[in-house]
Amino acid sequence: MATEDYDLLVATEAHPMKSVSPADYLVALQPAGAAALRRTVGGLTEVDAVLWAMEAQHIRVVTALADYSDQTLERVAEKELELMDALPEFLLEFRVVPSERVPAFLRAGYLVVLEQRTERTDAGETREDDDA
Amino acid sequence: MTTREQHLAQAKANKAFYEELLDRPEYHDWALTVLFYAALHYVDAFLYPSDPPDHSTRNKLISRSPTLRSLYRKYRRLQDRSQDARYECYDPTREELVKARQECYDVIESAILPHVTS
Repeated sequence: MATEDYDLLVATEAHPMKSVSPADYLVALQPAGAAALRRTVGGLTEVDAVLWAMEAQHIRVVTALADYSDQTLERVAEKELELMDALPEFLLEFRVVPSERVPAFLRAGYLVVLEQRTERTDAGETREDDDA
Repeated sequence: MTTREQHLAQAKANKAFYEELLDRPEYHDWALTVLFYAALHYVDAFLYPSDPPDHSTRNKLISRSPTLRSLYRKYRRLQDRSQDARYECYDPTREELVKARQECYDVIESAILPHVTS
């Protein structure tokens, strides 16, 4: 029996889309990469480092949805709660928009998280939908 | 600082205004925003004496409260849709407005009221 799930893709104007797991999500946000961050702010924990970098860069996050239904909005809200638990202070600004608005938000300096619909099997294999 | 009673009064006033706007299709976008802010004032009444200065801070406080956390999906949906109305020119139908009230606002109001009224 297959169940539906979502993968995360992260895009910035300077970087191509990068597929990440939710656990990698916050590290992937950093343009300089996690290793460079650790060098820069050595002595701080990784979480502190991400926080520091985000505050310094005023990173704003938007999630873009191809399926902009009420049900999907609520799923994203649940995911947002999980992220707040992992790193309570990271959300400087968090918005959800339809996917056609991505170019405008990239130009404005937002980091864009694209929700991509996948089909996940019990064996953990995933397949992207053709229209994702 | 705004008192709990003031937040409750503002929530009720916003809800009444939403009901009036339901019959004014030209202002249905604002009806959604008013409905969200009615819910927001119930949340602020619950959070009192905390006084969150912005949405981001408020949402974090919601996530840390077991009672409010269970309402976040509905609250955030109202917030998202009201932002759509203000920034993306989303123009909800009367049916969508009623659905937003029934599925989101009513759930939030009925869950919070027992905690904030004596």
